[in-house]
Amino acid sequence: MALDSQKIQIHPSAVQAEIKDISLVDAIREGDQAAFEQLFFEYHPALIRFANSITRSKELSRDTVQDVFLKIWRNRDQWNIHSSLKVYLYQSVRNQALNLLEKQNNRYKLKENLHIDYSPSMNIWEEGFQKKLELPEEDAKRIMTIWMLVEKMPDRRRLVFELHRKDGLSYKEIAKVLDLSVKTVENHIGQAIRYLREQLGQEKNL
Amino acid sequence: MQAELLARYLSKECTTQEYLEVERWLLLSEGNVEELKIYEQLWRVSANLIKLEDESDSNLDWSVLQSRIEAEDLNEEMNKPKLLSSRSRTAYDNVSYFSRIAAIITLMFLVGFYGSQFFEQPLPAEVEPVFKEISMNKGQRGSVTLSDGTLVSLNSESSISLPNTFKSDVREVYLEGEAFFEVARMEDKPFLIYINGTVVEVLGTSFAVRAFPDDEIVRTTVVEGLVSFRSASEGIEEGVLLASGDLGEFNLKQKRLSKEQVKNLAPYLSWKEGYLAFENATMDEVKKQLERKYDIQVLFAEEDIELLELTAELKSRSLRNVLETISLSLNLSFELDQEVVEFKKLP
Repeated sequence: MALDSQKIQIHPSAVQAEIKDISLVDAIREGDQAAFEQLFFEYHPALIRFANSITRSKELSRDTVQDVFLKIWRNRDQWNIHSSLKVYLYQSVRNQALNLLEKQNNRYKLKENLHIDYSPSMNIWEEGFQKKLELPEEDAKRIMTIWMLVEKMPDRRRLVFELHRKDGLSYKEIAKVLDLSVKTVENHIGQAIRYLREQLGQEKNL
Repeated sequence: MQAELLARYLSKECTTQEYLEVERWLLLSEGNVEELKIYEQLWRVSANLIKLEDESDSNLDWSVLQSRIEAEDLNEEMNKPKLLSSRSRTAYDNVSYFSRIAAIITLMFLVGFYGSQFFEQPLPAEVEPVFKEISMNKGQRGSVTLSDGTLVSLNSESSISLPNTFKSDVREVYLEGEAFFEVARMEDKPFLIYINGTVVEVLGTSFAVRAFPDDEIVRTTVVEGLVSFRSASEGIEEGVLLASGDLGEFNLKQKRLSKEQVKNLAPYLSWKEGYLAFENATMDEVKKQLERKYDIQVLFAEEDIELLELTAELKSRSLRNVLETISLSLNLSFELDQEVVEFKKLP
């Protein structure tokens, strides 16, 4: 594909976000506590969601994200980011989540019948979600249907699709975070959308 | 049409060539246009639902994280001879011993709360209540969930005392400073907040209460539900009833109670979301809030700066940005040195 670099649209907001991120990282490196707080509150909800999507446990995902932020603050002097801040954070969360999962699995091998608290990767089926979003019932139903179908997808496809639709990561960013090729990301998203289209049937308005 | 290509088209990830390919495909039939519409809707409905996530979780986790950081710092310090300390100066070096203790208390309280969920509560016997205090120092902010499910967000330099177990017929807490309450509804067990000679009584609702030691006015701002607000020495019929959007004020000097509707609640609630908002606030008031939130000292080079009025929403969490915005809108300049900031009038 020779024209690959010619994108249709440039996103000025994305560029701005990146400039903001750089100054945030610089401030944190210098020990700016307010900047650290800003980083935390900006990314915490999204990272919790992502961690939950991997670990399927509310407690594990909270621990994961805590550990990532604690590590950033602890090693702030030497904090270096080679990709974008967003990619860095998602990558760290994925690594830490897998670490914690592995530790937990080792423990479960010893004590077999322990109950694992399964937590869906979205809280949309919790009560009150519709009210919170102030959505018309129809839309709420559609959203629920889609994400329930996503829950049935193979793990990797589900993660790719969620990172794209929920977190707004680009194909390239997703590839970096999940350690996949961009081509594989494309395939997953394509198959996800085809699957959703098939499952939702011929209804014109979903 | 290939699903991969359509997905790239919808995500704006496709090349010019691919873009044209999709456009051509659309021209082929009406059906294709309809088909794309379905995909577009799918894309729209599946987008960005991140707002769903509970922000109170972030607040809680932030408190826990701060406690972990401070516990670590404390450890580090105890294991190190004082004179050899060569660590670069960080914000945490300035944190007083007391705020560390406060953080530890917060942590113990959080642990206590989570821990208690695993055990069945024994029926509380009516004994003299043992009070515990949760407090936030300058620069800190946090939230706790009480045993009845009520969520309390505490602003900097604020503290709340409450019994270890609530009485059987009433939930009573004592507040100093500023807090936001989301009270769990219990018809037969009203929630009472005592604050600087006044009392706020509710069944279940959300609202903010404020009275710092140097405030002349106790304020209650209601977001949802009904709240009774009165002087602590008066009966309930002497108070005012506040509904959603009402601001109740009790002037401590004149002993006068008043209420008004406010259009913009942000100045009374913004601290909870981690930013400051002002509406025609004097710089004197702005100074107090800056000092509280960022644990800094604010100086004015010219005395009459304190009379200037500021209207602004300072959403940036970076102190420097906040100071820049203030300076810009009031035509001032500022100098920030460690934890002291001085505002000057521009010539």
